[in-house]
Amino acid sequence: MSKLHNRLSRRKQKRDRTLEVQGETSRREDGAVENFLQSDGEPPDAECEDEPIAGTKSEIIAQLQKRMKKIESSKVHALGTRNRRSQQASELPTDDVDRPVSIGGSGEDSVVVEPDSAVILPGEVLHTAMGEVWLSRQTYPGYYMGNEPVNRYLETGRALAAFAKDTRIAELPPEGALFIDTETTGLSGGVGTLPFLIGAGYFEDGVFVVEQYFCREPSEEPAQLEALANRMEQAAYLVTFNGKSFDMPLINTRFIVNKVKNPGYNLPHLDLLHVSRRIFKRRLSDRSLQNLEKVILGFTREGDIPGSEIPAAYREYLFGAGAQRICDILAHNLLDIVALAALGGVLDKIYSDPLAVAHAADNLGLAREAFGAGEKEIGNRHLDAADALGDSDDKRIALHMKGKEAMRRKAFDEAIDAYRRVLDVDAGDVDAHLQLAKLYEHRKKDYESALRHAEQAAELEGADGAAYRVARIQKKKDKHAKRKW
Amino acid sequence: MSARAVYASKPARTAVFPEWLDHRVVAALTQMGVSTPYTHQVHTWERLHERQHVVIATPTASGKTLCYNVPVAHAIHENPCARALYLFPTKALARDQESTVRRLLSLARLDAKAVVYDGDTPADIRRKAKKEGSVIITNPDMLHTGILPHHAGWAQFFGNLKYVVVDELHQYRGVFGSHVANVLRRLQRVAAFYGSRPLFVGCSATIGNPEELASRVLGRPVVGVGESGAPTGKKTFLLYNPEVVDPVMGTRASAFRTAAKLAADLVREDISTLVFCQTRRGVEIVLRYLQDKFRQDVDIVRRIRGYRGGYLPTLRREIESDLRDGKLKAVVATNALELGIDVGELDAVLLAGYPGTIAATHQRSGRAGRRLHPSLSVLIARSTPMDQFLAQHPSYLLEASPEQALVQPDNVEIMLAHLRCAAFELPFGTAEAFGNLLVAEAQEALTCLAQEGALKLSGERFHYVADAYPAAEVNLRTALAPNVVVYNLETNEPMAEVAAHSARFELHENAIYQHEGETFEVTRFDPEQCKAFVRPVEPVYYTTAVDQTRIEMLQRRQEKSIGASLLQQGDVEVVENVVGYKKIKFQTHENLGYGDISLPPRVIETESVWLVFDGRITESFNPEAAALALDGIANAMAQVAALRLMCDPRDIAFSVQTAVPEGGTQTHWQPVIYMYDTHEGGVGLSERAYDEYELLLTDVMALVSGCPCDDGCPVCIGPVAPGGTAKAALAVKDTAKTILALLTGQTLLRSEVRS
Repeated sequence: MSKLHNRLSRRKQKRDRTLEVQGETSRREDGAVENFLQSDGEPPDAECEDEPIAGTKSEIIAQLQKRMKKIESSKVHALGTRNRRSQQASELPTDDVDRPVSIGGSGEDSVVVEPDSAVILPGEVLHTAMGEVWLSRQTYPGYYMGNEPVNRYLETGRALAAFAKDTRIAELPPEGALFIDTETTGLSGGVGTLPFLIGAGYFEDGVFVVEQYFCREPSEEPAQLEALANRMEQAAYLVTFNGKSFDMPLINTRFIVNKVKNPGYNLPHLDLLHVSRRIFKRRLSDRSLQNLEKVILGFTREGDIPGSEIPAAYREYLFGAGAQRICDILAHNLLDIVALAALGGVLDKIYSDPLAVAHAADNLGLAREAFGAGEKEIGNRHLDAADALGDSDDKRIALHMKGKEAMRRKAFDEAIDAYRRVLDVDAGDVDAHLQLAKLYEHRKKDYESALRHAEQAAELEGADGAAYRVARIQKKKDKHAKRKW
Repeated sequence: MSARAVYASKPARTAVFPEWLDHRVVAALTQMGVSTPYTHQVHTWERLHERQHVVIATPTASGKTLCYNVPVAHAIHENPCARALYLFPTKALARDQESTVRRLLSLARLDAKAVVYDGDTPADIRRKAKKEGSVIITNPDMLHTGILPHHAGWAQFFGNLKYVVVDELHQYRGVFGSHVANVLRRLQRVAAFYGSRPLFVGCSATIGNPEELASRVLGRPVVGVGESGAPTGKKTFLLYNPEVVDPVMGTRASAFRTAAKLAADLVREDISTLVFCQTRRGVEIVLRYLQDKFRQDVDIVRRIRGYRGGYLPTLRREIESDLRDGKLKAVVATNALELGIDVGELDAVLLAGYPGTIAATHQRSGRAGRRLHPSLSVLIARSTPMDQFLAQHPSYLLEASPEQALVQPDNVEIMLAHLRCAAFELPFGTAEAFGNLLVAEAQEALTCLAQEGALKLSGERFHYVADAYPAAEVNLRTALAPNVVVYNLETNEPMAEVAAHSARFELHENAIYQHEGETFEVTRFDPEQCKAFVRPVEPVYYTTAVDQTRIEMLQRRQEKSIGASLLQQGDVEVVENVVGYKKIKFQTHENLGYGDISLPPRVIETESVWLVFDGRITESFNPEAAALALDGIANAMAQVAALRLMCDPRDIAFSVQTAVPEGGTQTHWQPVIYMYDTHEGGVGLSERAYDEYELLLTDVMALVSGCPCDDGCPVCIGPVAPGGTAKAALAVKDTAKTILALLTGQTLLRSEVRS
C-alpha cells in the first residue's frame, strides 16, 4: 500500500499547506471585518465574533450583516398579526434559541458564552427500531397563519380530490392528511442527496402537530425513515409542495437505499404546487410557497434562512459549527409545513365558496379545476362570480368559458346568451362572433344572424376562413330563402 | 516496397452447440445461418456457463457479438427477469448493436426488450427502459453520470443483472480506461447492493495483453479466449515506402498521392478498396486525387466515397450499407470506420500512414478479406519519424506482438474522483474495499476525502455530504487537465484541441502553429481559459520553445543498472517552464531570433523513469557534444517510446537535465534523461517503460544507426542546430551512437563510426 499511501500523504501535505496560506489570509480578513464593523459605529455582536466563517471578505461581511439583522428580527415575533391569542402556542423554536443562553449557574455570575456552541436543538432523542434520531415536536392549537386558521383544513372536502385529480382523496377524511416537507444536502438530485430533515404535519384530536425528524449524523437516517414510516402508516394521503417532483422521489430513494419498508409509496398525493400554479396562473407570476404565504395567507416570514444556503449550513453543522443554523432550518421547515395546511384550507374554502374569492381571476382558475373534476355546478358558480365581480377581461373569459361549457351540455340557448354577453363586454371579440355564427348556422338555422356574425368576424379578422364561412352561409341563406318561397 | 508478408488461408474451425444451450436459442441461430458455431464462440459460452469472466480477443469480423448475445438470450430463457448491460465506447456502435440483439432475441422467441439508453433516448423510453429493458445498451459516460447516481430507479435492473458486456475493450486504455475501470468498480458495488454478481464479458481487438487489460478494467480475474475459429483467406501485407523526392530533407513522395494512385489501380481491376487516412483533411485530399483519376467515368466517381467524422449520420449509414451491399468501389475513411461498424468485407485496404499502433494497423487491415478470398493490405509510409522507423525496421510491425494497453485504475486523482461518486451512490463501510484496492488502502483514501470535507464518517460508514452532484464534475473522456482549444481568428471557429502539456510548447504567443499542413501564428494564449487564438500566416520560419523544465524527485520506487548507468523510477514533481522561443528558418535551420514568453509554470506531480548517466560515459566526450547527443537521444526516444508503450505521443514527455550541479565538477557530471507521464498522477506508462527500457534503448539504437542522414534529422536525433563547421565537428550523431552502444552493451562496427 506504500505507493497509494505516499501519494495520499503528499496530497494531504499539499492541502495543509494551502489551508495554512488560506488561514493566514482569512485571519487578516477577519481583522478587516472588525475594522469595517467598528468604523460603522457598531461593535461586533458577541455572537458573530467567534463564529468561524470562511469566505472572501465581502462574503463574510454579508454573512455578518445578515446574521445581525436576524438577531434583531428574532426579538420581534415573526408571526401574523390577526390572531394574538394563539401567539404563545405558535412561538417558533428560534425565539428560544436565538438568545444567548446562560450556563454554569443562574443569576448575575453566570457566564454568557456565544450562542453558537450553546444553542440547543429543540426536541429530544427519539428511539426507534432502527436506532436514534432527533425529534422536534410542536403543537399548534387554534393557530392562525397570517389571516388563515390552520384548522380550517379539517373542514376540507371534495375540493382537494378535485385538485389532486385523484378520486380516492374524496373518500378520505381530512384528519388523514400528512403534510411533508424535506430539507436536503443538495438540490441536484441523485441517490446521494440526503433529506437530513423531514418535517411531517398532521392533525391529532383537532390540533395541528408538526414532527421534525432530524439526522444529527447521516447514520441516523434509518431511524429517521423508520419514524417517518410509522407516521405514514397512520396517514391516509400526503400533501406536499412540489413533492411529486422533489421530496417524495427523494424519500422513496432513501427508503430503497436504506432497505427500510416504505408505506408511503402508494399513498394518494396532493401536490399543492401544481394546484396553486393552475389556480393562480392569471394573477400571480411568483407561485412559490413563500409568495403564496404572503399574498394568500397574509403572512410574511422574517429572518428566514434562504433555501439555497441550507445544504452548506448542514454540512458546516456536521463539521462542528454549532446548532444555530440548524435551528434556523427547523424554523424554516416548520413554517413550510404549517403553510401547507393553511394553504390547503384556504384553497378548499375559496373553491367551495365562490363569493368568498377576493379576485375574480382566481375564480376563473377555480372554475377550470371544477370543470376538470366534473363539478359543473361549482364551476358555473365561479364563472358567475367572475362575471359579476371581475373586470372586463375576467368577465370576457368567464363568459367564454360559460359558453363553451353550455355547448358541451348542448344548452345552446345558454351558450348563445353567454357569447352575446361577451359582445356586450367587447364588441370586437372575433371568437365570440365566430361561435355565434356557428351556433346560429348549425343549431338555430338562423342564417341571417349567422351571416351577420360571420361578416363581422371576417371584417375584424380579415381571414380567409371567415370569408369562406360568409360565402357558405350566404349560399345556405339563399337556398333557404328559395325553399321558403 | 520495403517488406512483404503473406499469411496463408485458414479454414473454419467449428464445434457443436453445447447441450445445455436452450433449444430455442439454437433454433434462432440455425435460422440466422449459424448451424455450426466457431470454436471461440463455443469456448466463450462454456466459460460463461462455468461462471468465469471472459475476455475475447479475436480479429475483426470473427462473430464476436454472438459470443455474448447467445448467453444473454439463454439467460433470459432461464429467467425472464434476467438483465444485461452492454457498454460501447460510442453512441453509434450502441445503435448498431441494438438491431442485432433485437433480431436474435425475437428469433429466439423471447419477449425481451433491448434498448439503447443514452443522452439521445427520449424521456418516455427511458422510463420504460428502467422497468422493462432486458438488455440496456449504453456507453460508459451515461453509466457514470446518468445511471449509477440514480440507481434507485434501476433497482430491478441491478437486482437481476446477469451479464455486463464491455465491447471494444482495447479502447479503454490510458486515462479514459482508468476512468472506465473505476466506473465499473462502482457498478459492481451497486450490483452487489441489490444482490447480484454479474458475469463480465470483454471483447477486444488484437492487443498484446487482453487478459491483463480486461482484468484491470473489469476488476475481475478473467480467462482469455484468443484462438479465432473463423475462417480467413490468404492475406498479403505490404509495407510501401514511397521514393525519395528531396534527398537533402529526406522527404519522400506524398503518401496521399501514392495511396490515390494505388487505389486507382485496384479500382481499375475491380477490387473493392478501403483507404484509411489519419485526418479528416487527409480523407478529402485522397478522395479528390482518386476521383480525379476517373474524371471521364462519372459512374465510377459516384462509386468512390469519403467517410469521416463530420459527415451527417444518415449519410454515414448510407455509405455503410452501400459498402456492405458491394455498391461502392472504394471508400476513403478516417478511423471513424475502424470501430466495429459492420461494412462487410473488402478485397484491399490501404493505410495512408501508420495509424499509430500495431494493434490499429491489424484492426484496419482486418477490414480486408472476404471469407476464404485472398486479400491485400498495404501500409504506405509517410515522411514522419515513426513511419520511417517502421519502413526501415519492418520486423517491428510484422513480427512483434501488438502493443500492450495500459490502464492505471489506482491513479490517485482518478480513483479519488470516483470514490466520491461511489460514496454518493452508497455510503462506504469501514471494512469495505474498492475494486482491487485493499480495505486499508480504500479506508485511507476515504479518510483523505473525509478530511477534505466531501465525506463524513458517521456510524461506521462514510457518507457523502458535499452538496454537488459529484459525477457531473468528472469527465471520463478528457485528461485530468482540460485541452486547450485553438480558435482560428479568420473564421472565428474552434479549429483544434491541444493537450494541456503540449499547449505551452506549441501555442505560446507568437508561436508558429502547424495544423493539417497549414501554418498559423498564435496571437494570444490564455492558459486559464484554455484557449489560444491563431491567424493564418505564411512565414519563412518555424518556432521552437525554449524549455526550462525542472524536475524534482519526490520518491524513488525502484532502480536497476543499465550498462554502467542507473535507471530509476518513481514519483516526481515537474515544473514545466517555457521561458522563450527561437525562430528557425525553414530549409537552412538558421536562427532568426529569440522572443520572451511570460507564462506561469505548470506544476504536475506524476510518475517518471529516469536514466542517470555514469560520469565515465560522459567524461570521455566533449561536453557540448555530449549534451547535444543526449538531447538527440531523448528526441529519438520520444519517437519510439510511444510505439513501445502503445500510447499517444502526447501522453509522455522527455526532458534532459544536463546542468552541472552547483559546486560540482565536470568529472562528477551526471546528466539525466527523464521520461514522464504528462497526466497528473500518471497512468502507468513509466513503470512499463522501466521494465522495457533496455528494449527501448535497442529501438533507439536501431533508429539512429539505421537513419541515412549525415548528422541528425527529424526522423532520428532531430536536426542538430546549425552552427556551421564548428557544430559539424562535434559529430553529434556519432556521439549519440557511441553513448547508446555503451548503454546497450553493443559494440559498434568500425564502419558505423565515422573517423
